[in-house]
Order: sequence, then C-alpha cells, then structure tokens
Amino acid sequence: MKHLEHSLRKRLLTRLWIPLASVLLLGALLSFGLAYHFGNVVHDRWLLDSATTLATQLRADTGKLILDLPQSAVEMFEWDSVDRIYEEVTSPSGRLLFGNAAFPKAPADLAPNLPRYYDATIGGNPVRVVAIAVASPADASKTVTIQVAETKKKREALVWEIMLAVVPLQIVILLLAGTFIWFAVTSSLSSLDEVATRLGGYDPESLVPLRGVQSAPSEIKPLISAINGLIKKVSEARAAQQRFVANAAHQLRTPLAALQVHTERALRETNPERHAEALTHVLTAVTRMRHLTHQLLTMTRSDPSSASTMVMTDLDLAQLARDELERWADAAIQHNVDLGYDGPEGGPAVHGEPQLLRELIGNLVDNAIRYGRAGGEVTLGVRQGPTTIFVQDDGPGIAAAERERVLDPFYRTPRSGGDGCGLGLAIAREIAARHGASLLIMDHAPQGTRVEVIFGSGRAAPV
Amino acid sequence: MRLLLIEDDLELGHGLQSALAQSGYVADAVHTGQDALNATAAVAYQGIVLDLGLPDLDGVEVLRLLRSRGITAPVLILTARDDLQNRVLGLDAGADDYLCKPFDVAELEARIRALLRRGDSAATTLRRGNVAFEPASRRLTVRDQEVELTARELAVLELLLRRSGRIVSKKHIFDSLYSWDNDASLSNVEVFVSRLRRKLANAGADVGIRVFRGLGYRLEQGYASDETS
Repeated sequence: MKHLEHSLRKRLLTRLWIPLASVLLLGALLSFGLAYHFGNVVHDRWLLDSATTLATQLRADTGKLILDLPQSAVEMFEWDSVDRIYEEVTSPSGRLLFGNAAFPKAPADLAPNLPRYYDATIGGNPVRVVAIAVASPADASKTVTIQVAETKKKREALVWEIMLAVVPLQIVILLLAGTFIWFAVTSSLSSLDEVATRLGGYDPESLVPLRGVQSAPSEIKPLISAINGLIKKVSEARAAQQRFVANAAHQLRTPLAALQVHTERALRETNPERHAEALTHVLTAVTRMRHLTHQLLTMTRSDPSSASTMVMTDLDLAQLARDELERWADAAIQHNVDLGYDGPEGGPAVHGEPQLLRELIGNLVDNAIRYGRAGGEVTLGVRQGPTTIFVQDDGPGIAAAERERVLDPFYRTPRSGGDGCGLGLAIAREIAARHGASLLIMDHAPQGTRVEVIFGSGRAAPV
Repeated sequence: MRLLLIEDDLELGHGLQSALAQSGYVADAVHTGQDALNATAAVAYQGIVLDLGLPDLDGVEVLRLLRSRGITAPVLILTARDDLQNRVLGLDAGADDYLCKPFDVAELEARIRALLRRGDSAATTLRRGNVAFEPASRRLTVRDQEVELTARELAVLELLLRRSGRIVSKKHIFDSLYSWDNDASLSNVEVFVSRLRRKLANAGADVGIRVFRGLGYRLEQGYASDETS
C-alpha cells in the first residue's frame, strides 16, 4: 500500500506551482515578443522616414531625373551614433542615381508607395532594409526605387533592454504568487491536521463523540459525522452488551437463590418426605439454570460477531426439523401437548449452520409448548417456495402490541408464568437473521400464536 | 460391569460415582489423564466415561493413547463445549458417544447402557418392559406368554423395539414393509400399528405405541394407548 501514500499538501502545491510557473513563463515570452515587435515597428518607421526624405530630393531637370543631394545633407543623413546607414536610389531604367553600398536587388513586384521591409546582409553586416517605389518626377508613369538599410545594433540592444526589464519582474511575480499559494494551501489544510491530531489522540475507552463538527470545513464535516456515527453505534452496542450481561447475571441470581434455599432446607430437614421434596426443588432450580446457561451460550454463538466462525453447509430443512422436533416429544408429553409435524418427509434445502438451526426450531417449539395451552396442540411445519418453517400453538396468543417486545432479550409477557428466561425468541430472531431469514409473529386462527421463519426473504447478515 | 470415570472435577466425579453406584455400576474415578492410562493398563474396563478438560493431558489425547494401546472399551465423552468441531474431534479420535454438560443422570445411564449393549446386540432378545422379542425365532412374549402376530405386525414391532425410545417415521416403516413395486399406501401402516396396539394391550403389555402427528410412532413403557377393545 506504500504507493498509495501521498500528502495532500505536496500534491496541491506541485499541482498549483507547476502550472503557475508555466503560465508566467508563457506570459513572459509573449510580452517579450510583443515589446520586441513594437520596438521593431518604430525602427522600421524611422527607416521609412529616411527613404521618403530621399524621395523628396528627386527632381526632374529638363526631362532628366536627378537626385539633388548636397554632400552635407548626405553626411547628416548617414550620421548615427550606433548603427550604419546605407541608401540606394535607382532610376526606372535601373540606373543607379545614388548609392553608398552594394544593395541586394529590390523586390521586383514593388507596388508604388507601399514600403517593403526585409532582412539582408550588406558588407558582411546583417541589416534591415526598406524598399519603396515612388513616382518619377520626370515621368509620373514610371517609378524610382529607393532602398535604405540600417545595421541592427540598436535593435539588438533593445532585446537586451526588454529582457532586463521583463525577467526580474517575472521572477518577483512568480515568487509572490508561489508564496500566496503556499500560504493558502497550508492554512486551509491545517484544519485537516487538526482533525488528524484530534483523532490520533482519541481515547477509545471513553467513546465520546468528536467535538467541533460545526466549525469544521464542509469537506471534512461528513468525515467527522461518519466517525461520530460510528462512535455512537459502538457505544450503543457496548451499552447493550453491558445491559445484556447484567441482565444475564440477574437472571442467574434467581435460580441460584432458589437453589440455595432449597439445599439449605434439605440439609436441615429430618423428615425424609420433605427432604425429598426440597431436593425436587433443587433439581428444578438447576434445570432452570441449565436452560439459561444454554440459552446464553446460544445467544453468543448466534451473535453477528461469531458469524465468521460459523460453518455453513447445505442441509435438508425438513429432516433437520423432524429430528429436532423429536427431541421435544417428552417435553410435550409432560405438558400434555399434542406435538405434530406438518410438511414433507425431506426436501427443502437450506444453506445454514445445523446446530444453530436446530436451536432456532427448538426455541420456537419450546416456547409453543411452554406458553401454549395445556392439553393443546403444537405443530411444526415446513413449506417450500419460499422455504418456510412455522410453529403454531392454540394457546392464548401474543397481543399485537407485544409482538415487537417479545423479541427483546429477557423480555417476558406480563402473564407468562413458567420458568422461561425470555431469550427464546431473541435467539430465534438472531439465528434467522444469520441465515438471511425473517421471523414473523402472527395470529393462529381461531386462537394461538404462529411464528414463521421465511428463508431468503431477509437481507443476509453481513459476515 | 466395571466402569472407569475420568473427571477432573472432584465434586462432579464423586457425584457421578455415587449416582452410578445407585444404578449398580462399579465405577473407578480418576482425576488425571495419566492416572487414567495407568488404570486402564491394570484393569479391563467395560466402559469409560471421559471428561475432555483434564489438568495434565487433553482428553482427546488420552482417548488416542487409549485406542493406540488397544483398549477397545466403549468411550463416552463428557464436555462443557458442545460446538460441532469439538464433537467431531472427539468422535474422530475414537469416542463412541458424546454428552454435553450439564446432563441428566438418567440420560448418562441410558447412554452407558446403550454403549454396553452395543457389543452384543446382534442376536439377543429385544426387550422393553414386559415385552420380549427374539429376532432369530421371531417369537414374541408378553408377560412371558407367547403372543401371535402376523409377519408384518412383527416387523413393525421389531422396528419400534430396535429404535426403542426414538420416533420411527411412518415412511420408514412403510419402506421396510413394502417393496417399490407394491401399490400399498401409507395408510396401511396405520392399520398395522392400530392392530399391533390392540394386540399388545389385550395381552397386558406395559408398553404402548404413541403416535406423533406427522412424525411417526414411538414405543413407550407405561403408555397405554386408548385403543383397547
């Protein structure tokens, strides 16, 4: 999992810094390009000015074209502190009227009065040239070609000047923006750090919800809420477990007390008949404790947390049900209950834990025998499509209002006498849930209770 | 009949020893696995009751050692753990039966009786109350008086006697009475059972056949079916 490890801070900073630097670099290049371009345009205009000045010196002298350019004017024209200036004036016929350097031939398709700029080399120096055609004063239908060239020293100097101005500026912008980003990222993520620190220092024993949900950024709120939800659930589960253990211990106290009373009585008793009678009560108390212990163990075993140790197999539900029902034959006879089976000899296949399913069936049958009508009828049935087990009795039934509560551990309906411990239906429901089955309590007409366990109807319990 | 009781809890061991003595069994009680191995080397026991939770050796280990030393006496395991794996483990190691704590003394005795019977069950008389049936000669006596039954009635009774104390399903009886191609129906079984009940009752048997709705029949001592005539 090492490769999945990453820091949000690092990721945010690299993802912000790299594009920022790229954008700034691009901006610098563009502004440099623009500045250079406009600098060039200005120099080109000056070059054109020189060319047009030369054009104004053209005159026609008795039909002959001459360039009237005194030497002083030429000197002034050519003077430049940095660059060298070259010029050339050519008559329509191609005769050189004036020139101080060997120019490349002017472009042939030169339109009148439309200057053309191009780069060339004169005398080994790279130069910028402007070529322009002007109407000849001697014959307006013909054009005189004027070319003026200039070495590029000023233009090269301009590049450096722009560079010196742009580069430090860009560096300053880059540093400022980078700092702002670093500050924004770090300060925003500090709330995450705070949550992490709080979670790191969390005391798992206390199970107190994390505070400060409202002040947390909306991105972290769901996280804190989820953790708080989990904490709430765990603390509720723990409370329920503590309640259960306390309940179980209390439940054990009563038969223990009975056991002690009757044992002491038996030891003290001299009359053999009453001695035996006391011992019968001892046995009853022991039987109750035995039942309770068994139920508690079954409850633990059917708990979701033991689901991973459950060994599920494919089994024949009808056969299992008949087998388990047989175990209750004597209890039924004792309660004078007519115990019966209603369903196929074998058939419906269920994927389950046989021991737990037996407990499920046993608890339902036990309840029906215990709380049904003395001399009544208890029937265990198995049906197919959907696979269903039902147990029905013709006893007093369970009031609709009680049906949810009887599923709670240790809950016993007010008028239920007997020696049950109130775990039977809770166990049955737990086991049903482990098998993806749902447990329904309903009326059995004309009187009595019917409990149905329908397989494949509930959500399979998470393992 | 001499039994060996291997139980580390002194209180429970003593109680069991006394209870078994009440029923006419002589039981030697030992409290460790090593003592058990020594005892079995000295005495040929007819049956062994073994608690799995011993202080020195694991009960299953003791069982393996006993079996590896050629001791074939039936072994009944007692344990507080009743999950399937433990049960399978014990039976795989060579145990003959398995009983989970806590248990009824009556049940323990019934299982010990069954284990002791197992060795010589083949040809002996099947007996329940005052009813005795000899499979070899197919002779039935009630109160030592011979009772005449048809072959199929006898077959039903034999099934019930062989699975004494257990419910025998109607289908099971039917399958053992009729071959596949026979067109008899399940209600024939009811007729045979009904006749059997009447004949047993008339002969003064103290066992009766109890009907469990949808499940089958069970032979019970002291149960009087109301079909006397």
